[in-house]
Amino acid sequence: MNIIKAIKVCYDYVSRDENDQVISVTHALSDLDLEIEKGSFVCILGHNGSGKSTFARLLNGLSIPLSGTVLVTDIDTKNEDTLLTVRETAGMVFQNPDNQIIANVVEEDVAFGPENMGIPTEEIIERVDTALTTVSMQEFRDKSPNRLSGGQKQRVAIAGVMAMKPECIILDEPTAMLDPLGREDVLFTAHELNKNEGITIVLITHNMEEAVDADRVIVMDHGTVAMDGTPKEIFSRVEELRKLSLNVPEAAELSYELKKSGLPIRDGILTLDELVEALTELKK
Amino acid sequence: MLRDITLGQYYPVDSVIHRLDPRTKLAGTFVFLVSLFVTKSIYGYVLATVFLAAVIMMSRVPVKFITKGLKAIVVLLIISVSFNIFLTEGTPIFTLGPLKATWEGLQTAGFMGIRLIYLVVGSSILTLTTTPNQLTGGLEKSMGFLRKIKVPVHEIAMMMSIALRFIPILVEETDKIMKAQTARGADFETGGLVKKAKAMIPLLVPLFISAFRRASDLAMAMEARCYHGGAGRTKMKPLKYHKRDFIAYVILLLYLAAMIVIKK
Repeated sequence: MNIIKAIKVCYDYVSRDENDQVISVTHALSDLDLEIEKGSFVCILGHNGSGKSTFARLLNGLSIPLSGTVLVTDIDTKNEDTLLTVRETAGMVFQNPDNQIIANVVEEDVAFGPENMGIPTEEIIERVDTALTTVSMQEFRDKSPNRLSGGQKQRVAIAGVMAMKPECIILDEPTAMLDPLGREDVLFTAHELNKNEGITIVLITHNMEEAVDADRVIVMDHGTVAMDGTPKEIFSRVEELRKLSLNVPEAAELSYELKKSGLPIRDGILTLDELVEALTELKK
Repeated sequence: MLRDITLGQYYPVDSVIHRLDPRTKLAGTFVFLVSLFVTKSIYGYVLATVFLAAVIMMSRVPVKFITKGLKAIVVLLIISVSFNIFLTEGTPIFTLGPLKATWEGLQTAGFMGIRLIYLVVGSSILTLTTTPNQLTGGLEKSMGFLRKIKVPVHEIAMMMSIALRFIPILVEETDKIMKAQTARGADFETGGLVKKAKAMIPLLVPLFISAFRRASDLAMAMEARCYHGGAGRTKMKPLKYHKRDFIAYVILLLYLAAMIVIKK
C-alpha cells in the first residue's frame, strides 16, 4: 500500500519586486510523480535547488501544489478541512534543531503536538513518556533544550513528532547542522523507528552515506525524479550521479574506479566493510 | 553582559515553591511587589526581608543564582541611590561641591536600594521556579476574562513563551556575531556614545535577519505540528489548585495584612 502519492505535482517560487511585478519564476517541482510505500525507509537525494525540500513541505500540507495532487493516506493535502489529519499522519522534522523546539522544557515540547490535537491530559502524558523512551531521551525530560547537544535536540524533535502518533515521518536534512556523532544518533533513531514501530521514514539529505541503509533511494533533479531504485542500483550508476553533481559513497566510488581499471570486482559495494570483503575474496 | 540576566531562566529542582500553581506564584509576586511600595517603615522592610528569605530557602534555588540577576541593575541602582542621597532635603552630613548629602536622603536611598533589589530578586524567584510555559499558562488562565473584550490572550501568552525560549539563543548569537565582527576589525569598545551606537549597526542588522529567519522557521515547525491557535487545545499539565496553593494564599493574605498594618 502506498502512504504517499504525488500525481503530476508542480510548484513554483515566484519572486516579485515592490510593484508586485514578477521578476523571476523558479520551477521547484515540475510534473513530479512519486509514490512511497507504507513502512519503507526512503531516502531522497539531490543537490541544492533540486526541489527535495519543497517536496517535503508538500507532504504535510505546509505548501499546496500549484497543480497536481498530493495524497497522504488517500487524503488530499489541498483540502483545508482535513489538513490537520494530514499533519498528524505525516510528521515533519526540520534541519535546524533550535528553530523547531517551541517549549523551554523537553517534555513540554514533546507535548506540544498532542496538545494542539486536543488529546486528553492523561493520554498526553502517556504519549510523551513513550515518545521520549523510543528516542532514549527519558532522562532529559525536565531539562532545558538549550543544554542539549544538536543530536539530542533533533531526537527531542523526533519525539515531538512521535507523540502525535504519525504513520510517516519526513526528515528534512535533519543532520545538516550536526557533528558526526549527532548525525549517527539521529540516523540510528530513524532506523529504529522504521524497524520497531513500522513508521514510514522519508529522509531528505544530500549526504550520500546516509542513503546507504535505505530501502529505496530517489534522486531528484530539476524538480523531477532523476533516478529511483535500491541503494545498490543507484550507487553503481556513478557517471549519472556525477552528472547530477552528486557524489557517491567513498567505498562505492573506489570499487567503481577499480572496476573501471580492470579489476574483476563485484557490483553493488556500498560500505567499507563490503569493499574489504570483496577485495580479500579477490586475493584468494 | 546580557548573560547575567537570570530572568526567564528556569532552575530545575523540586521544591514547594516549584510545585505551587503558577497563578499562586504570580499573585504572590504581585502582592510582594505591591507590599514593597506600601511600606515606609523599617519594620515593614524587616518583614519583607523575612518573607523573601523564607521563600528563597523554600525554593532551594542557590542564592548565588538569584543574585546574578542583580548585576544587570547595578548601574540603575547606583544612579538612583546617589540621586536620593544628594537631592533629598534635610539634615546635611557632608557637602561635595554643590552637592549636599543628607540623613533623610541616606534613609530614602537605603529604602530605595532595598526596594529595587527586592523587586528584581522577587521576580527572579518567580521565573527561576516556574517554567516559562507554566508562567504563560498561568497568565493565560488568570487573564482569561480579557478574552471577552477581544484581547488575544492565548496568542500573547504564546508569544511570551516563545520570546523567553529564544532569549538565550539570541544572546548566544549576539555574542557570536560580536566576535565575528571584532575579528574583522569592528570596534564595540571605544569612542563616545554616538560612535558606540553606530558600531551597533553591524551587530543588529545580522541579528535581526537571523531572528526573522528563526521566526519563519519556527512558525513552520509549529504549523507542521498542528498548531492552529488556542481553540481546541488541551494541556499536558492543566492548571489545578492544590491544598498547598490555598495555604500559600492564606500566608500571602496574612503577609499583606501585616504590611498594611505596619505601613508607616
